[in-house]
Amino acid sequence: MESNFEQPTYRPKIKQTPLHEAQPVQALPEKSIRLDLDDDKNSGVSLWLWALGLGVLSILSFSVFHAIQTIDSYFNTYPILSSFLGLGLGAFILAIALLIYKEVKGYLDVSQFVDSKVDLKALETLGDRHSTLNKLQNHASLVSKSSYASRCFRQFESAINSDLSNHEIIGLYQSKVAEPILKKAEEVLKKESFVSGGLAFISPNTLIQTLLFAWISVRTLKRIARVFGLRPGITGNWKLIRVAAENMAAQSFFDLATDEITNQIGSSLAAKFMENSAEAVAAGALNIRLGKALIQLLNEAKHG
Amino acid sequence: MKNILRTVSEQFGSLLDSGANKLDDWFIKDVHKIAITGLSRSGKSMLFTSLMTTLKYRSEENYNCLPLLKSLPIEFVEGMKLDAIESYELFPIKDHIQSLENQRWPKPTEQLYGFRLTIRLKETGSIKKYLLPHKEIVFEFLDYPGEWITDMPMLNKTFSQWSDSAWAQQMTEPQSYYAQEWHHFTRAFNFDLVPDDDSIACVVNEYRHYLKKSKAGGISLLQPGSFLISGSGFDWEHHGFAPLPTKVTSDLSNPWNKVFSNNYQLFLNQWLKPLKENSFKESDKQIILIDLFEGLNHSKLHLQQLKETLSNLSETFVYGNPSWFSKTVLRNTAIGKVAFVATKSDLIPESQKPQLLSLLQDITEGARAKFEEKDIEFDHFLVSAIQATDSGLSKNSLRYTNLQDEYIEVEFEDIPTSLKSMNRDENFPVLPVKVPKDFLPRILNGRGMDRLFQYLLE
Ligand SMILES: Nc1nc2c(ncn2[C@@H]2O[C@H](COP(=O)(O)OP(=O)(O)OP(=O)(O)O)[C@@H](O)[C@H]2O)c(=O)[nH]1
Ligand SMILES: [Mg+2]
Repeated sequence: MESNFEQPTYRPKIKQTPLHEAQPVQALPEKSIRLDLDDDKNSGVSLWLWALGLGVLSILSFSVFHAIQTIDSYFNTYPILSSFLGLGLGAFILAIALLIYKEVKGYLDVSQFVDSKVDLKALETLGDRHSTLNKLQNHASLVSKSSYASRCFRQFESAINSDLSNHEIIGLYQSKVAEPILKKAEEVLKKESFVSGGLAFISPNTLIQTLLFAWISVRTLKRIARVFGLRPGITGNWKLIRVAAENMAAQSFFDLATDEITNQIGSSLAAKFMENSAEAVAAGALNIRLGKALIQLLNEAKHG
Repeated sequence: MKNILRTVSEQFGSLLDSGANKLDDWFIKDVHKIAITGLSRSGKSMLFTSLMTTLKYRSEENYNCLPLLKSLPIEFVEGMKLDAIESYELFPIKDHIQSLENQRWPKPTEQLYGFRLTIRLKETGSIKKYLLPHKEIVFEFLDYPGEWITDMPMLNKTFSQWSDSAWAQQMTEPQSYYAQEWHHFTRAFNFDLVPDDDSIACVVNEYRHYLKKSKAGGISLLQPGSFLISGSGFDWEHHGFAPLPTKVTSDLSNPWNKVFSNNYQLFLNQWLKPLKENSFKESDKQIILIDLFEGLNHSKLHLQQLKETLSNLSETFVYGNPSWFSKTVLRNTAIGKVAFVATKSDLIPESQKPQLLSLLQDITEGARAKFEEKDIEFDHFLVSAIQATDSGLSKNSLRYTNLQDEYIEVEFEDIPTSLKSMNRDENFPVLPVKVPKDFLPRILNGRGMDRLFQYLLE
């Protein structure tokens, strides 16, 4: 029965080395952002920019046309002088071409943005956490820095730690990025549809109505695109309209009559109860369809 | 930063005061009775402190904490409050925050505390919004000394059964090392003498001395643990007992046997039974906290023993109150949920976490087997109530500040993934981590709490 044991000794499986520095201080977690945050600062300017841009473009084209004509007619009489003029003109055209190239690039960026959109379901089945994070970060790098989307992404990033599984990361992305953006975009669309319906309602003639509608549609698309972190140039906007319109055409005709659309107009617009409201409703509905098409195109949230 | 820290405990003051107002009872209440159990020093009090602090800062200051806790989305939380459960004392959250502010860990718990955490959610449905403006999620928790839980299995034993098994355990490693003095004492002691107050006190004290020594040595199975806690409601000084050598317990006429049997029954009836009925109240959700580091700190045998202890205790853990359990949970076909949680996961490098999780699964094997065929769902989790360490240079290292304020880099070899793969002569000395000055962000940056509570709430 005698138990006579030595104090057991063990080989430690850790090795400690003192450091000559102080422990770093950790930061508090980021604060979470509220959905009702509004970041539409520069509204209404774009119509003027459009008019101005088109005006400048036509003046430019006219003067270029004139210039070529003039140089051509003077070439036989003053070959050297007109060569210089020609060179200057060439350089000028090159510069313009560069500007146009930039616009085209903006145009391409839109496609790149749409293409880089992450498919969360696919990431769930295929991806491991590392490649999922890479994909998400890659997409986030295309998002404009001051946008709502980018703030959502920062929140998501600050919540990520090495303990999280692929599934959890995707869940977090869904709840911290994809869903809030979708919600925000739908809010913006609702507001815009109110304006578009209202504009159609007050406009005195069809031409003005059509122009206003074109303007509000572009504005709607731009605002929605901005929520998603897309800040397209002017041509980028055209591209957006095109893809949105294509997407819209692909939707079933019956979409127009869905509860959701009538609900949205109904709740945001008293037009239903007024005379002359049919056009307002139609304009609002069209705008909503356009906006919805774009949201569908850009949305990453599951079941969105 | 300093200012924030200074106001932490003040803010809890206002939190407590607001708890004095009675709730309006027409709120929809979603009550979760979550029992958190765990052996002594397993991290219960720290977990509560961290949970309350994090929820508070999340709901009142909008800090982006607990991101995986989808059942309680930040944007719908309107506020929370903390109040005492009737007939229990309120959990000393202010004292705990105060100690952390002074860079000391909260004191070991010496008595029973009960508290209720009420989280008020905004109702989002439009009609419900007017009829029932709020929904409340209520958590009820109890905190108590871990030593008490180890005593629960004694309820199913007679004195001689308990004495014999305790004696057998003392003869095996690793306890045998710590039991030498006690064994020496019993061999020299004459158990034929008629016991009187002095000689009883002498034997009981000698036994307590053994219990204390083994506890310091990391032994998890120590009965009665209640003898080690001054706040226990049992007068062990006058009605104490100790296991007796088999030759004494087998002699039914031995006076010591009689006296200790009596005292043992008193202990069960006056202390353990009421304790069990009051403290391990009805709950369909259980969190079992397990500190693997105490075992890793000592040896494979210590871990082996932890596994046995958990297995012995699993019935207490899971059923708390067996009649209530079968009446409510089983009949309602509700599924009981059990979460096994390895605490203090910040004490190993990130890269070793999968290993630690697998070791945890190995350690809970026996405990799980007890309820595997029942309607109980379980899962395993790693949690750190506070992120007291930082990552190190290599992926297998971390950094911490020790009690002498030295900042130290620690390189780890691989943590064993099961008991089998641990060598008998190796250990992982536990790191004597000092509470960092920036304890608040480190609590808010704790890990795994959101995953754990989401599991229990969904
Ligand atoms: N590094 C680290 N240490 C922890 C953590 N949680 C607890 N500890 C350590 O573990 C010790 C025990 O934690 P407590 O919360 O007091 O344990 P308990 O289960 O309440 O213990 P009793 O009240 O004695 O039953 C603390 O003093 C800390 O040293 C954690 O998340 N990280
Ligand atoms: Mg405690």
